[in-house]
Amino acid sequence: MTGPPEALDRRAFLRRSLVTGALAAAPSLAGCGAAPGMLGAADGRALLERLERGLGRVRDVPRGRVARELRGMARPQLAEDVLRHTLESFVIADVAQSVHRAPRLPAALEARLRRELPVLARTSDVHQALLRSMPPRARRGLDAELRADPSLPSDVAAWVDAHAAELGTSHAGRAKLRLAVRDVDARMRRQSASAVIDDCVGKVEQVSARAGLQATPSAGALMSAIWNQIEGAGHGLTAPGRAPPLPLPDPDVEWAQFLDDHDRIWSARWASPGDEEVEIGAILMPFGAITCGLLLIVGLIVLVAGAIQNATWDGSPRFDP
Amino acid sequence: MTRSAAWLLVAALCAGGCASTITTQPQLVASSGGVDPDTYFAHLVWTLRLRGYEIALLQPEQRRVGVCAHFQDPETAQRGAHRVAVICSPIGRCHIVPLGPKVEREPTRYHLPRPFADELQAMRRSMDLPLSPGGPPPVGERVAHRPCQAQ
Repeated sequence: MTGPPEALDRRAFLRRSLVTGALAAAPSLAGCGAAPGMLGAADGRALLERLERGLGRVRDVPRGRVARELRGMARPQLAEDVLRHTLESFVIADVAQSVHRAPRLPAALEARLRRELPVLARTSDVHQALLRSMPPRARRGLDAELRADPSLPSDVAAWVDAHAAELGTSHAGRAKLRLAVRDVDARMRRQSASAVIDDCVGKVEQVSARAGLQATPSAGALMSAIWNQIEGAGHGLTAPGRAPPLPLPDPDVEWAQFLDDHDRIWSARWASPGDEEVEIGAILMPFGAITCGLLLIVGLIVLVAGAIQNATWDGSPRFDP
Repeated sequence: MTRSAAWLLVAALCAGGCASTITTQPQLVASSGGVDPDTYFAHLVWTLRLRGYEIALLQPEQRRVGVCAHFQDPETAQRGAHRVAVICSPIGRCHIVPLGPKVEREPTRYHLPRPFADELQAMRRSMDLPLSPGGPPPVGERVAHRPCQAQ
């Protein structure tokens, strides 16, 4: 996340964001096992440090910086928020994966993970909502992009992998992410992006309708809740109001963003900034043509008259009467 | 001859340029009859909701609301949304500020697409509904910024 977003081509970034969203919401994304065994105090401290370091790197990037780089997108601020939450979720999920089967956790790590649980819930909800409401035109566009650039999923995986490495996530977690991308890639080639999206969203909705969120007093239950939220394999993924809401941003900052947010121009008539000038130029040109044409004709007549006079002159002096 | 040509030129220019955009004064609505500013703000929000405007951002404590105005460009038949900000002062005067593409904001006037200006006028008129006898329903919770839904 600390890498320079300047280096990212906007068009490529847009495509990557689209596919990243699809991948992140796929239930297969995090369908992985974890390292079993007891968790010592030192391991707990190391994991806590990894969590803090990763989250710190995402959260230390000044707000609005990513949005400025994504000005070409319809909603750069929204895209920034989604990307931030997604990267934060990768960090949290990576730590959770490392302690998936630990019978108990150090109190500090457990408390920290509990505090970050709403980020996972929110990220899952956002990705699912975005994919569920993805319009047919956008889905067709995604299919077309995938056909035009077969290496797109690998590019996305490499991009995510590079950022995940920067955030300090584990090799095992990143390897599983690459496997998940390969799986989604293969399914999209066999079927279509739209079919894969529908399938993923449908599965998540089915499991979320199955049960409500349980109290999670033990470490194992906490991990289970986290993984259920990532995998869509358990409780309350989309149940409204179950997850504590994320803290709202400063109202003045949010209002300033609302005022400065740039929408896409939706009317073809307003699409080009020079259209009005072209129209005015087209109107002025006939006036210029008429005026100049008149002068041209008069000048030509005078010129021809003079030439005739010259041609008919016999060289004798001419006197006015 | 010269005068006729000048009029012809103005008419031609207006046909090309004036039809798509229009210059308007800032729109303003204000409470009357000693209505409490908070009550008036609640009335505005309730009216906007009643008229079907989509709330994109609501900050009751700051008396600010952002809505999405959906309308159709009559020439291209395309449908889209522009955002509108309504900002109320502590004395109950509320400014209606058009936002979005093709809107140029100046201190004393706005240049904006004609269909959007018409929609703003309609919104301004809809806010003139009289206060209900029991007072408007409460504004409700703060709403975080969300994008306008495409139509």
